[in-house]
Amino acid sequence: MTLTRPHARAIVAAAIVLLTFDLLVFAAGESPWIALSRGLAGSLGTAYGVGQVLYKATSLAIAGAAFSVAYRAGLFNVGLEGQLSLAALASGVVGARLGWAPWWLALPLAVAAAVAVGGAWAAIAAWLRVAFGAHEVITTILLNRLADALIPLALAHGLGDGGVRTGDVAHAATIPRLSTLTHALAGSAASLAVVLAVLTPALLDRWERRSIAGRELGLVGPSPDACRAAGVPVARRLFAALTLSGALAGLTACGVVLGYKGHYELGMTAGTGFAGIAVGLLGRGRPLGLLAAALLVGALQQAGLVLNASVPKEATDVLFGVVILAVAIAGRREEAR
Amino acid sequence: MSAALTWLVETVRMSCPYVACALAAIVTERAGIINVALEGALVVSGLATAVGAALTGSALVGFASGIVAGTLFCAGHGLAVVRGRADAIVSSIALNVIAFALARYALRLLWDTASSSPRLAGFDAPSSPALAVVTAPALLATVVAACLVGALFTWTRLGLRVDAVGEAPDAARAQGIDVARVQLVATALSGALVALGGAHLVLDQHRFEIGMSGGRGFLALAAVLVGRHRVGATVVAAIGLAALDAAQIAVQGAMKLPPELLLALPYVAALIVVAVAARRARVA
Repeated sequence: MTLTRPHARAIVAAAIVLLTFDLLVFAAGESPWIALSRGLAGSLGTAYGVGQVLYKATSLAIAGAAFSVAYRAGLFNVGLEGQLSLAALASGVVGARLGWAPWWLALPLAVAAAVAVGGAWAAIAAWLRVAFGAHEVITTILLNRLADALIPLALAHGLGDGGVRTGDVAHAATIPRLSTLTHALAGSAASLAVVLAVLTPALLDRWERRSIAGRELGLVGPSPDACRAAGVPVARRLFAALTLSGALAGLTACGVVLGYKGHYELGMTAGTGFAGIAVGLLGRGRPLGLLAAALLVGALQQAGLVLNASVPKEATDVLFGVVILAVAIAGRREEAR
Repeated sequence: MSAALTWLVETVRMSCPYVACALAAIVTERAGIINVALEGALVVSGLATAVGAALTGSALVGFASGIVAGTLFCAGHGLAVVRGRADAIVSSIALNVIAFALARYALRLLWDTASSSPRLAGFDAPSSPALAVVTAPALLATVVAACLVGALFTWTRLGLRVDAVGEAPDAARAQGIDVARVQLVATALSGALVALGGAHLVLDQHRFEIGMSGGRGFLALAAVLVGRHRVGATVVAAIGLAALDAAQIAVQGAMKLPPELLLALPYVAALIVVAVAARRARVA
């Protein structure tokens, strides 16, 4: 009784998500209908709420683009989580040491540090894949755990502020908040990094369509043998795709560290990488798709925070996993029988 | 106890979740289904064990609910992949996300805490600590399970079918084997196997704690790669991981090394092992 018709699959997927939502809210002793309306009011009903959604969507859109670029080459970057947290640490550490620099030097340096570290961490998995044939899903998962172990070590021994965070990022290296432009968003975490969130998926899409390397990226995944026969440097393309994915994960970290908090602290980016995977899958790698998915997931997360008093906010993460699963079922894998 | 004996006992204690996860991975992967949701299955089965034990005050009920939860969880993976035709990696990741979040959600709802359950009743144990470790029911069950999984693939028709389905699904189908059914049975069975490890973690520590699975469900995958999906070799590799874990704790006590550095070691070792195993598989 394998489900075949597409709309039937979509209906089943949507029903699973709704049912889970009801169960989670109901178990916490809240009415699903009231929870839904309060969640909506708190996320999209106020200017502050919209600002928070924008802030979350900024990270999610870039992380989604990061996932997509590897996915296009047939690589599954489960390591966004570790790449993001190490990159966030790097931007905090470098940013805190840039008190001497003017903004046009400080900001690019802090961003470059994050991008370089994110890319380098992904490059380890890329190298293991290309040189040894080690599956990137396993290696990136292990690298996530390794990053989890190394970050407290780095913070405690020299890179941190003697505890669980780095020093404050120099003002010159921060990304201006949107609230400096309009008073409506006062207090919200959204920053000009939102520009990056709009540009990154669009530029990536253009690169993937217009450049030779970008077009080859979409071919080496499904048919590596044909590519090899045609003289495409398959190993180099795979390496580049995964490394670029990590570098973009690094860019994601900038919106959080340089645009909002002004320092890195332990666990600050936890969950963003996995959410980025969901956004990438939901958005199917298309620029508008990624933006829409990022806004949707951002709104969901914000609604979860609003409801936290009556329904534990972890409920949104459960729901979120169910959404990934439902989308995977609705989208089905492509090998037809 | 002498240091060597302590290390040996700790190795035995820690081998349970590693071996349980490795057995589970063998069964699903030999059926041709990738399962990186073992970590999530450990968490869910541990949570269910704690909830069952806390609500009834009986370790046996906790153990049983852990097994049921693990089985359902992995059967969910099987359903999503086999019936729902979802990508196995995506499904695994989604299930891991669900498991981690569900654990926190349940802790907040049941005990209004974000980190750990209250102290739970365990099985009656001998007063000698070393003996208590060796005779822990979940550990003994895992030993039996390892023998059974070995027997399954060596002597039974189901084991043969699992291999046939994993190796060549189309040929298996042509032979009249219900491929989907075999894969569903295999994934559900793997859930029961992981749950032995999850239940052991909880009953051994007398509590459920966030993060107590400690990545063992992921590390076990490295053991499976080294053991090339064979039961005996994989179990040995999994015990090796446990020995490494136990050594790490012993070294940590003896020397003044930063604990994070030692926590990182198993992952570095696993990365190297995965790379070497992958190259060997590529050459072969």
